[in-house]
This record gives sequence, C-alpha cells and structure tokens, in this order.
Amino acid sequence: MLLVIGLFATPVHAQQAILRGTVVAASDGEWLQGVNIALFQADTLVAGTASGSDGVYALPGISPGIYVLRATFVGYATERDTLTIGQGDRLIVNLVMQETETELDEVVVRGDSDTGAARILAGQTSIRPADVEMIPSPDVSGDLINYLTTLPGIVSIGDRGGQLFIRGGEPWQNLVLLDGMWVYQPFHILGFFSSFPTDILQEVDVYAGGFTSQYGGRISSVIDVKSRNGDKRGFAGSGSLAPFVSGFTLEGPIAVDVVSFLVSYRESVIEQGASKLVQDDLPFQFSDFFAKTHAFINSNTQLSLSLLRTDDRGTVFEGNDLQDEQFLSWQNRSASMRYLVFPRAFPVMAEFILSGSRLKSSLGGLSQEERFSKLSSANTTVNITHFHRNTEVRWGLFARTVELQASLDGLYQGFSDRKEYATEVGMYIEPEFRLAYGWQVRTGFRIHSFPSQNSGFLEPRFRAVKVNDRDEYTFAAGIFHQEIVGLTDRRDAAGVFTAWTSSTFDQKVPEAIHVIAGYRRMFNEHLEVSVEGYAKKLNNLYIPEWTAYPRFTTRIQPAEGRVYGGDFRVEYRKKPFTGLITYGLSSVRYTAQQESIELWYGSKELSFRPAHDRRHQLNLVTSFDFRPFDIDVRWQFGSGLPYSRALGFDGFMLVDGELDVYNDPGNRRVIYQKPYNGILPTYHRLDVTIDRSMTLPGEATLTVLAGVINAYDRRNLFYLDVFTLRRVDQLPLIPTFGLKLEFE
Amino acid sequence: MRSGDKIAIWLPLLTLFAMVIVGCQESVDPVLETEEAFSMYGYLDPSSDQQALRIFTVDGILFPTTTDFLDAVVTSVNMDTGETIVWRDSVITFRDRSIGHVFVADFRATHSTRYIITAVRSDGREAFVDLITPPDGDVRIDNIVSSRSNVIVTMNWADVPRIIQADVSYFVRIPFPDGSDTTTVRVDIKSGRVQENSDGTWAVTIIPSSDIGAIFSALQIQPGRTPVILHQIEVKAFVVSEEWESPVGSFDPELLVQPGTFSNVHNGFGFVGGGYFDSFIFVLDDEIARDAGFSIDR
Repeated sequence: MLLVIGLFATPVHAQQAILRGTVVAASDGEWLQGVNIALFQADTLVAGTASGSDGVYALPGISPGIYVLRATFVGYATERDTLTIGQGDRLIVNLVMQETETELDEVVVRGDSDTGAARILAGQTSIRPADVEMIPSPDVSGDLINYLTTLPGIVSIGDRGGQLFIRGGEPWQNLVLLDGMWVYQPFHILGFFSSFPTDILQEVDVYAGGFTSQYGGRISSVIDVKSRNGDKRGFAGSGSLAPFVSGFTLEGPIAVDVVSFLVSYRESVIEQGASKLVQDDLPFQFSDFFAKTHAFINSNTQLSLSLLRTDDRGTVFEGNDLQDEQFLSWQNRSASMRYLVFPRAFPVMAEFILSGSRLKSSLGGLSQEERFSKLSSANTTVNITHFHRNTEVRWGLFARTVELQASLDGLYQGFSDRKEYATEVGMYIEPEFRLAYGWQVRTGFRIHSFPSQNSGFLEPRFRAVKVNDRDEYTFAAGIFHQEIVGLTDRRDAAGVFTAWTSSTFDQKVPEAIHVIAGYRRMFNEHLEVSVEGYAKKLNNLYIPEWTAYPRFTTRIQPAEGRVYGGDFRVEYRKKPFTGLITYGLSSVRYTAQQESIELWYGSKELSFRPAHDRRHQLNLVTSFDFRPFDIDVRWQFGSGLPYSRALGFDGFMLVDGELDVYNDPGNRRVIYQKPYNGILPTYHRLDVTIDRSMTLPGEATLTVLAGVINAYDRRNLFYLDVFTLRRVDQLPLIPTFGLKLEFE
Repeated sequence: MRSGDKIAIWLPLLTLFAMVIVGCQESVDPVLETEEAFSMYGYLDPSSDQQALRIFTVDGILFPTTTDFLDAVVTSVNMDTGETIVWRDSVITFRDRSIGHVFVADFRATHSTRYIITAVRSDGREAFVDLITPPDGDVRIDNIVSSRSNVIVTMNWADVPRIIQADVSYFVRIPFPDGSDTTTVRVDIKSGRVQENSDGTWAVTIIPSSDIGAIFSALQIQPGRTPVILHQIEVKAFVVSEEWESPVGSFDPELLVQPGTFSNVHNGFGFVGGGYFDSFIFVLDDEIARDAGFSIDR
C-alpha cells in the first residue's frame, strides 16, 4: 500500500516537466556513469546533472520550451538532441554515446555521483575497473580485492584467508552486494582473488563508513558491486591462463540492443601451477562462476538476472604427529532478480530486487567435520527515487529472513549445535538537497526493525559534500545496527572460520555510530591529496566469551568498542606514470564486560586491542605505462596485529564433591596472562608485474604478463594457533606469468 | 622541478628504501615462560585407605598426555608425625581414550591434620600444597516437620569446617512384578540443601515428600499402583577443609577454569583440599513416611 502511495504521490512541481533516461555506450550497450547531462535553452544552461548508477539521469522541474540536451563524457563524442518540452511532460530520452578520441571540452556538471579518479568521499570510494588493473596481480585480468587492499582503512590479514577489516570493523560487519544480492564471504581463500574479477565489474562503491540509508543490517561498511550487463551489440570474450587461476569470460547479445548475457568462470590452478613453481605445497582451491542476463524490456524498464557461485577450499594446517590436516572450506550461492522502471506518468525511478543467498563454511580434518556454519537468507528490496528540481528523494522498503545453523566442535572438548531464524524489515527515506555555498546534503532516516528480537531502531544518516574547483569538503555521520553477528575463534591469531549467530544476548542489537570528515585537494590536473578522519563508537558488540578451554564456542559476551583513525592518500597521474601512496592510521579498542572479568582480573571491565587492530598500514603503488609494456609495482606494509600470548598449558578439573580422578578425564587448558597481550610480526611484501598487449589478426588481443609475488621472500605469518604453536606462513616468493586472449 | 616529477622519482626510491629497512625477518613467540611447574587436583580423604591426585605438568606446548611416566616425584608429609610418603604414578586411560596421570598413595589420612604435598620435576622446579584435613564431624537429626504430603528433615553437622554437597539415598522395598516377593533398591537423589548455621554448625535439609516423585520416576512405576515402602535414608555430606570454598559461591567450571581463580597450589595451579563423605543413616517413623508418600509395610 505504502509503495503504491509513494509511486503515485503528486510531485511538488506538478506543472513542470521532467526529463529522464539512461545513457549507454554505442559500442556495447553498456551503461555509463558520470556522463555530464546539460540542458540548454538559447545557449543558456538551464539544468544539469551527471548520470548515476545504471546510467540513469533525471532533469526535473523543466519549464515548457525548446531545449538542446547535451551529453558529454571523456572518450565519447558529444551527443546533442533538440527537444520540445511541453507543460508537465514526462519525457524519457535514452542516450547512446559514440566512442571517440576527442578530448572533452564541454560544460562539466559535477555531483555526488560523479566518478573521476577513484577517490575518498566521506567514507565512500568509487572504483573503476581501470583502477583495479594498475595493481599488480598474479592473474592477467586483475581482481577487485587487490585494489581494495590498497585503500588505507582496509586491513587484510594477508595473501591467505579472505578476510577484510574495514576501519576497525570485523569482516562479519561488512555488507557485500553484487547486483543487489548479499555475498557473505566474497573473498577467496587466496588473498589475491575475490568473487569479483575485473572483467565483470562496471562500478564499485565502497563505503568504509557513514553509508547512506539505502544500506543497513551491517555496522561497519558496504561494498556495493555492480556488474556489467554484457555486450548488446556483438560477441566478445576472453580466456586467461596463469599459475594461480585460469578462466574465461563470454558476453554477447541474445537480442541485439535488447537482451545480453555475461558469463565468467575462473578456477584456481595453484596446485598444478604456482605450487610447482616454488616446489612447495600450496593447497588452495577456489572457483567462481558468475552469470548475468540483462534486458531493456522497453524504453523505460530494465530487467536483470544474476547468479553467483563460489567454492573455496584450502589446508590451513598441514598436520603433524598429533593432528590431522585441517581444511577450511566455504561456498557462496547467490541469485538475484533486479527490475528497474521509470513509470511514464510519474517523475520517479523504481528498483525492485529479489535475492537469495547462502553461505556454508566448515573447518575440519580428514576424519570429521569439526566446525560447521550455514547461513541462508532471502531478501526483498524496493528503492524509489523521486526527482524534484532542487531535491531528489529516495525511499525504500526491505524485508529479509535469515536461517542460521552452526555445529561446532573443539580439539579436546565442547560441542555446540544451534539453529535459529531471524527477520529484518523496515523502510528508509533519504532526501537530497542542494544548498547554498555549494553544499550538497543528503539526510536520511532508516527504520530498521528486528521482529525476532522485538526491537526496532530509527537510524538517522547524514552526508554533506562541498565541491569547489580544487577543494572538496566532505562530512558523514550515522547510526547503524546489525542483528546477525559472526563469531571467530580467538585461539587462532589469524582465525578465518566464522560462525554466524543472532545477537540474542539480552536482546541488544549491535550498534555503531560513525562520524567522518574529509578534505581533498587537487593541486593540479595530475596530483591529488586527500585526508579523512573518522571515529566510530561500537555498542552492544558480541565477542566470544573469554575462556581458558581450548575450544571454539558460540558463547558470547557483551563488549563496547571505539575506533579512531585517519586515512591519507596521495595520487599522481601523468602518463606514463601513475603513483599512489596510501597510509592508514587506526586505533581500535574493545572493552569486554563479561561477568567473570572482575573475578579473573580484579576490574569490572577488560579493555584490549582486538586481533584486527592494525595500527599502521602503508601502500605504495606505481604503474609505468611504457608502451607497449606496463610495469606495476606494489609494496604493502602493515604493523603487527595483537594476539594472546600464553604462559603455558596444563589441565583443568572441577574440584567439587563429584571429583573422581580415576574416571574424570578433565580438560586441557591454556594459561593466559591477559587477552591480546602480544603483537605479531609486521607484514610487508613487494609485488611486481610487467605485461604487454599485442593486437592479433581478427580483432583479438593477446596480453602476456610476467611478475614476481613477494619479491624479497618475506616470511609473513598467516595462521598461528597459540595452543599448538602451529604456524602457517603466507606465500613465499613466487614467480608468476600469464596469458590472456581477448576477442571482439 | 615540478612536484609531480619529484614524486615520480621519489616513489620508487621510497619503495626500495622500505624494502631494505624492513627486510629482516621477525619471529613470533606465542608462549611466555612460567615458573609454575604442575597443576594438581584432588583431595586427601580421611575415610579412605588410598589417596589419589591428578597431576598435569605445565608445558610450553599443548599436546596430548602420553603414557610415559610424568617427570614428577610426588611426596606427602604429615606435619604432625613427620611421616613422608612417596606417591606412585598411575597411568589412566579414560573412556574418551585420553591419558591421565593419577598419583596414588596407600595410606589413610588423619582428621584435622596438616599435610604438605610436593611435586618436584627433575630440573628441581616444584609445586606444593599446604592443607589441613577436616575433623570428624558429629551429626544428629535436628528437626523433622511432618504433615500430610509435607515432610522436611533437617540434620545438623557440628565441628566441621564446611559442607559443600549432600547426597541422599533412599532404600525402598518394592514388589517383584508378579507380586511374589519384595526387593530392596537404592535410589540416589541429589536433593540435600546445605546451609551454614549462625553458630558455625552446618545444616543439611532433605524433603522426602518432594523426593518421592523422583523415586517413582527413577523406578519407572506409577504412584498408587505399586507400593513403595521406605526402608531407610542415607545422607552423605561432603565435609571439606576450610579453604575449599569457591570464590563465586558455586562450582561453575566456566568461571573456575581461569587459572588461579580457585587455587591453593603454590608455584602451580589447581586445588587440593581435604574432604570426605560423612554418611548418616536413619529411619523415618511409619506415620512420617506415609505423610511423605511412601507405603507402609503392614
């Protein structure tokens, strides 16, 4: 009912016309974001905007008259169209941009959805596929995660494990979306790869905090990935071979200009390739399959279906005389249907998303599945955008149901089974205003209800951006809640396995308050510097209950947290050189409130640095485009992560009246001093790749890549079990090479 | 030189510099050393002719206990008599197939006696515990409240430091299924409520009228159909030494598992006390037994 009322709501400027449409590239029909759309009347600029996600633009509040619509974009010929607009018209004009070598020399209209170089914007970074490709990767095609880990506030535990900690948040606090579907563990077990190869990417928005009201159910960050629709004009594809991963991409029209498909498949060949190069066991396997079909049903509606399947499996411990080899595995299965419509009668855009996702993960030995966790969810989302002359109002509805199952077993004792269900429903409204002095403000309110917890929250959000010629000021703040929490095993210094559960403790839902302030300056057309400070207050966190039992547990305890930090970024782009320096300074502190803490430590609270508190992180990236060669270099450094050092190990028996030393086996125990009282070694590594592209007959291109990963053979720690002192290191020095054949 | 050109030169140099300064390898040492040598669990039992203690070594690495003899010499000294006894290592394979080392000594501990039990490693490191066994208590029935379906019996233990547990056993006679004869069976119920009195004595309260339900349930018979005749009641109070007191009031393993939380072992971990089960057997009058719900043998 609310949806119908919203769609048919009378616009404020009922007498004025609105112009809407999508912008696509002529070459392949792919939508274009950031195209400058300007409406002129007798050479006078009347209205302007930039195309946003899905290539959508809207120019509301147009008075009757004759206009020239002009669309400009770097690398494309200017598109002009003369329009006669009547009173109250609801025009839909879809634009097709022709690629050209001509440099842009037109009016530039900038907005929050503008995509220039990848940049920080109040916690938000927009990433283009070209940005990803300048990061050295063992694969020719590149992968989103390699760029993500250059962002200063994003901490990775290294080249294994598939875990990202964003500005003090834990991996389970990140929302990762691909075409609207939730992907719960999107990063592959080998840290160079995610479920998002560059070939399928169209646009990636990373909100390291302060995200807009459209997003919810997570308290740390949002990574919103939108895939390409596939070529609607002709068939294209690629195949690649490399020691780490090989795969192919295929796309093309099903009905020219109307329906397209895109298929991508990658499978690791590490054991057959990289492992032999270093003559060492690298027991990691993964694969990802992505398929999408997209259709312009008519001039004002689009429909897309997406499917993602990923499989990861690896040995986190090779085994010894005491224990079997241990495998870690997880599988993502996600599907979504997305329907986009511009109702002709109303100045709105409506987006409907139905999606389902499942994550199944396990950690165990050959003889048994030791730990197991499964999460399934169904999501329904409706997003409506109303276009007004000086405002744009977004609102939406969402409903989500989640099934959680966990079965956990430890080395020596402890067995826990859980199965539970949770629901989340709510709505949001988010008007955007253009104010005086160039400020663009987006305020939002999200009502996020957790019926299974009998709780609901009003989440205010705020974003403000002021853009001058060279300076950009940004500010963001908001309140966020998350019902579904992930538990990791504290005994592993770099624990990967996550068990999902609902936050049932005292019916309090984890909450975060974010405040972000940033400044960016473009010193000239080549050099850009940005700095951003942030603070987070984390309430009602759930962390595993502290125990001396050597076992994994879903028993949780309440905790509070706070995060302070700053991101610094210098980017220099002048052909043939591109340089990027990012530095992240961060301080994370948790305060646990377990009842037993006073008994154990003499104080009511225990304050500590959690295991992901990487204080310093530095990335140096350079790319030299010496045609026909392209040399990419990356050096990354991270200060040591906290972990719990033990005094030793013994056994424990409960000495009560029941004690029977002849029949009670007791339990093994770790003798901790205090949690997280140690610091692991620093992490650093140098990767270098060089590639060359060659044009072959028949519109084919062959790219050859060679490089070296961990060039100075740094022994970086991946996994440390402080109970058994099991240490597994990250990748050693590995030479790599690759071939990629593309055709159009 | 323009700023951009400077960066173009300095960035690779910075990279090289960073490589050099952090090129050294670092080791990780997750286990700190500790002086604690052993963890010891158990109690000296003045009611038993054999004493037993479970002993774990404090190690720098976690590994399953093996059947090899523990590197420990365990002795106990009766501080009143000076008698020193060397305990022997007994390797136990538990039902879960894990291995444990139980040190055993064949002697009867005496009441109200100070003992020092020491475990010494071959490198000289040792852990010891200093304890006093509890005295032999004096028990009597303090009070019986009896009315229809409500029978409460209170016993009083005098001259004992502490009672941490009381178990109740009901000895009842029930007929064979064919009714030809009866047999006496014992039903164990953990129902005794323990409380310290203001005069320092300890009261154990049982409620037979409540326990009768558990007895029927344990015997899998239905009330009213099969006569259950009360023969006698045995109350076993676990009398312990003064220091045997949980810091949280109850014996919650999740709380007490933290090393040092409940420990009297010097230079080690664990707890060794003195304790024994003091048994008291009595018979209820027929009227009281009937009020509690039992049948009467006519």
